[in-house]
Amino acid sequence: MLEVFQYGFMQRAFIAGIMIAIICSAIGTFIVLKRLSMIGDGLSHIALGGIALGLFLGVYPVISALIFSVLSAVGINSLKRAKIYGDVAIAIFFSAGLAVAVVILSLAKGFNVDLFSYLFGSILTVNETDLQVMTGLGIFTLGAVVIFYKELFYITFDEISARASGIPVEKLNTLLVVLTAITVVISLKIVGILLVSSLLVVPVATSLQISRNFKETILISMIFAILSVVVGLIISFYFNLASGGAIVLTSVIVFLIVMIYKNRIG
Amino acid sequence: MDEKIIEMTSISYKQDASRILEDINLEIKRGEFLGIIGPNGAGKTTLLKIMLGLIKPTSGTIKLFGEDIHHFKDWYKIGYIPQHALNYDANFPVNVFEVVSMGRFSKKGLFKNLGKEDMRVIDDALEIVGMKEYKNRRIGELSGGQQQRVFIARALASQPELLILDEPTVGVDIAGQKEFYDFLEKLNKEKKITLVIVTHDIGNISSRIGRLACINKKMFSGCHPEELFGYAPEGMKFVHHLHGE
Repeated sequence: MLEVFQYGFMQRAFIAGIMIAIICSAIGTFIVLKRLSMIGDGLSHIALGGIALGLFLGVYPVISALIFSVLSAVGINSLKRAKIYGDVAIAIFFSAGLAVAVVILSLAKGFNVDLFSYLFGSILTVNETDLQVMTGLGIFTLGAVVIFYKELFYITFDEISARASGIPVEKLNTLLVVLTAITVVISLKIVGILLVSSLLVVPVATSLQISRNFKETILISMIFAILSVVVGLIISFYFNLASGGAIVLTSVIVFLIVMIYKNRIG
Repeated sequence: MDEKIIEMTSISYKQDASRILEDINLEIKRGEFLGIIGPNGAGKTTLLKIMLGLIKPTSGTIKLFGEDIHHFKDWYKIGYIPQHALNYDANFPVNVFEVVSMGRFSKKGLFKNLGKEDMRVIDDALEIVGMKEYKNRRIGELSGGQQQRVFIARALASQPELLILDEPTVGVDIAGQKEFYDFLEKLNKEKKITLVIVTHDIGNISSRIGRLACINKKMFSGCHPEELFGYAPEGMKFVHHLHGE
């Protein structure tokens, strides 16, 4: 067996990474096509505030990040309903989250190393507890997408008609941002706060170049995301790089290859 | 049959300070083919949206299929083809089958997947609009007229009793328009679907519709085709008060 697969931490990183790839593609397809690509970025910075607070108070940071970002997701959605522009609503929460993180960082200087791994992702940090929490949240998120697939698909394509046919559009929009918040938190440890949104967007963008229908967009995006995660983790292991960077760089290279290939073929 | 499937009484709608609609009374009976015309900004689309419960009127009451709109649940009975059906993102990755299948979603309800019966209804809807062989084509690859027929198929897939169309032929070429109105007439006569259509296309609908409502904030009574269009299409009854008739 290759060295990379022998270590427990790498096995956990692969399991977590593949799961993240699948979930990010499923959620990413909806948010990219709903023109909400920025929301992943916003929610991840909000999560940073939650992580800083968790580290400061000595609470399990994944949970504090989860609470922070899920509450903010609901908040962003209600600000939007209060006729605040969608991107402004995101920006307000984004700023608040980042500000909390910065304030706490200046108060306590003891956890810089930990925080570094949350910013850029690290393959070393996924322990058994993390994996269990991530799996639980992952099953919940993916389950919700499967159960509400047809409704989420409808509101993504045509919100007005969905509403006219009696589909509870507002509730589903809230569900989608909450699921996005959970996805961001699941992905934090491996991909890192600064790059989470890339994994939500880039594989979907790659898939959109060749997919012929909606279901295919999700499935092809999953294949590209898994490929990027696996290759990225291996590179990260052998060259001692932050995993988030390696994964996202791989996904961008895959995007470029597909784009060039598609333009060659026509 | 004289069953009233839509009854709008004293409907007014204000947005900020401006009156969009004033004291509209409109009844639509089962089996009718009603055309709604009026200048731009007359509130035609707003009227349809109020009819569909997408906008709440400032005052007035609405009954759908005899039931107050607040208690109405059977939204699948109403097929809606919005004005911007052709205006969505042409690169959206969705094929004809997927678009039409959306028509089944509301009837199906939450937590349930489409089954064999749904597939049959979707196939039938595609057959009716003549788009069956395009089932696996990406929607963005189709012409405007073909796309419009796909959206009609989606509305038909919910097996509606009433079809509401908002300027359905915008972006469709002239030949396509005639064909489209022939098709609507067939739906009305053969499938017994009640039709409400907002259009500028008076030439094409004149010989086919049963009744015409003119709107410019109010339902206006001087709705004579000669004044509006310089000629009187034959066989058309003009509605002056739109209250019964």
